[in-house]
Amino acid sequence: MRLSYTETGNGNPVVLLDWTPWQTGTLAAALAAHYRVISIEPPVGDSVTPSAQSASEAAAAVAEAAGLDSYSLVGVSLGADAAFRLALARPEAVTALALVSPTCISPVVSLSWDTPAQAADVMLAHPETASDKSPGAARTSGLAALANLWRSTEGYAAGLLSGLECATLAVFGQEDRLVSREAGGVWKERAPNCNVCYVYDAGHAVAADRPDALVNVVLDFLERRETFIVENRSSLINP
Amino acid sequence: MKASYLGAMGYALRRDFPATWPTPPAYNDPELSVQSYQDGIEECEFAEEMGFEWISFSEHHYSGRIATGTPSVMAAAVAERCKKARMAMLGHLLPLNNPVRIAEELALLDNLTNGRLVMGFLRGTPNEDQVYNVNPAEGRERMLESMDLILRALTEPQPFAWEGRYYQYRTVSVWPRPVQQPLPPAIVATRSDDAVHFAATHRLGLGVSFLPVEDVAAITGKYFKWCEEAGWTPQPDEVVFRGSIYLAETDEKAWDWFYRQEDQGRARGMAMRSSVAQVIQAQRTGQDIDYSHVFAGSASGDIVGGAPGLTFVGGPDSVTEQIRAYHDRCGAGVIDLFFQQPSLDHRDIMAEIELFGREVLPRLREF
Repeated sequence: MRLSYTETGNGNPVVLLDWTPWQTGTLAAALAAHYRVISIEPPVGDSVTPSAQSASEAAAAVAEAAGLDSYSLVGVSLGADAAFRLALARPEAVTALALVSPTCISPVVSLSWDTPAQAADVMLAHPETASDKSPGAARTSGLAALANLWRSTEGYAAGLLSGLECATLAVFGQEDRLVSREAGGVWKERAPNCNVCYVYDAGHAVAADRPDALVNVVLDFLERRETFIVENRSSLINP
Repeated sequence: MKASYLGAMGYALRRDFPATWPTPPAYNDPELSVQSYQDGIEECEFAEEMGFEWISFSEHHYSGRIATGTPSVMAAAVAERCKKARMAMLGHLLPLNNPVRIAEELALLDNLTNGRLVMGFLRGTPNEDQVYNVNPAEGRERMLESMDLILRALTEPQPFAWEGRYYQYRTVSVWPRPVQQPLPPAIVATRSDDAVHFAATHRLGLGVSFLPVEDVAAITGKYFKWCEEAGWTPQPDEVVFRGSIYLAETDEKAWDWFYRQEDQGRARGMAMRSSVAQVIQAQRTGQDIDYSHVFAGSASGDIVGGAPGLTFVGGPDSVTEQIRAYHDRCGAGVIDLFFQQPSLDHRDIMAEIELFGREVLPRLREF
C-alpha cells in the first residue's frame, strides 16, 4: 500500500491520520501552528481496499521514513481506527494518542451514504448548514472506498483496548450517528490511560460542526497529556 | 388525571411585600420564616394525605412568594415527611446553574426518595437572569446544552469530559446513579418551540404553565406532532400544566374573594424597574439596545415574567370543569396547582386543600 503525506509546521512531531469523509483541514492547520505535522492521506483510490491493520502498518512506515523515533499520534474517524492499531504495535514510538470519532468500538453499521448530501446527513449534527462545509471533491470521490474500509473494521478491537499503554484521548461528537452511545464508556472502562470527551452539538465530523471546540481539547491534551483534566486558567476577575 | 401540589413555601406575611422584585431581606423575620416553612411542609403533608400524587418544587429566587431558591433542599426535607407522593422538581432553572451540580442533586434526590423523583428543566422568568449573572441573550442556548449534559451525566457509566459551548468539564462522574433506570421521568417546562422540540425528540415530558387553555393547546399540539414524528407517544404523566387556583365552597364565594383582591391591589404580580425589564427582554430576543435612552425612572415597572393571574377560580364544579378543559383540549395528565395566593394564610390553604381533595380530586381521577 502506498500512502502520500504532507509535512507542515515546526516543533515536536505529530502524525495526523484525518481520514473522515468530511475532512475540513481545520485540525491539521491548528496542529501545524504548534507542531511539526506529518499528515498522511487516507488510502483511497487503490485497487485493493485496505484493512485498518494494513493501513496502520503503512502509516507507521511513513512515520519512520520521515525520520520520527517518537511522536504524538492523532487519528480521525477511520484514521482513528488505524491510529489505534499503530499505537498498539509501536508503543515505544507513540507517546500520546488522540482519537477523534473512532469507529472501531460499537459502530453503527446500518448507516451508509453514496452522495455528499447523504454523507452530510450521516456525518453532521447540522446537515442543514452543510453547504458551508462541503468537503473537497477528491475526498468526496473516496467515500465509497472508505465506506468499505469502515465495514472491514466493524466488530473488532474491544479486546485490544487493555493493551493501549500511552496517554489516550477519545473524542466523540455528542450526536455521532456512526457509533453507538455506549462506545465512549467502553473506551474509558477498558483502556487504562484513556480519557473520553464528548463535544456538544457535534456529529461524527466534529471538526465540521464544532471546529474550535475540537481544536481546543486536542491541543490541550497534546500539550498536557493526561493532566489536561486539571484546570489551569485563572478565575480571578478583579486583581 | 393526577394532581400535584406546588410546595411554594411562601413567607407568612407575603401579602405585605412591595410589588417589586427582588424582595429585600429586611422583610424576613427569622422566627416567622421558620414557622412559614413548617407551615408549608405541613401543607405538603396534608396534600399527600388528601390524595395529591405529586408534590412539586420550583426554583425561584430573591422572593418570599415562592421561597425555594434551592428546591432540592426543600424537596429533601419534604420527602422525609411525605412517603408516597412523587417529588417533582418543576423545576431547576438550568441557565443559572452548574448542570453537573444539578445532575448530582437529582440523582441524590432519586436515592433519598427511593425512586420517586420527577425531574424538571426550565429557563426561568426574566428577572431570574439577574440572580447569578446570566446574560439573557444566552439563556436559551445554555438551557438546551445543559439538558443534554445533565441527561448524559445521569446515564453515562464511566467518567467523561464535556466540551460544550457554555460548559466545559474535564471530569464528570455523577454519584450516586439514579434509582429509576435508565432515567427518572423528566419534564421540560417551556413555551418555546426549540425546547418543545428538544423534549419531543429526546422522549421527555412537557410542562406548560399559567397560560389560557387555547395557548397551551397550541403548544402541546406541536409537542404531540413532533413526538409522533420521533416515533413515540407521551404517557399522560408526561404532560403537565401548572395553574394558579382559588377554590371555595361555591362560585359566589370564590369570585367575591377574587374581586376583593383586585380592589385591594393584591392581584398584581411582582414588577421590575421598567428599564431593566426592557433591556432583559431585548437581550432575550436579540434586539439592539440603545443604552443612551436608559435612565432611572419609576422603580415600579413591568410584571416579572408575565406573573400569573388565577387560572382556576370557583367552586368545586366549576374548577373541575376548568381543569377538565386542560385535560381534554391540551392532553394534560397532571395538573400542578399553586394554592398560596398572597392574601391567604396557612389555615385558609389547609381548608382549600381539604376541599380540593374531597370534592375535586376524585373527579379528576375519572378523566
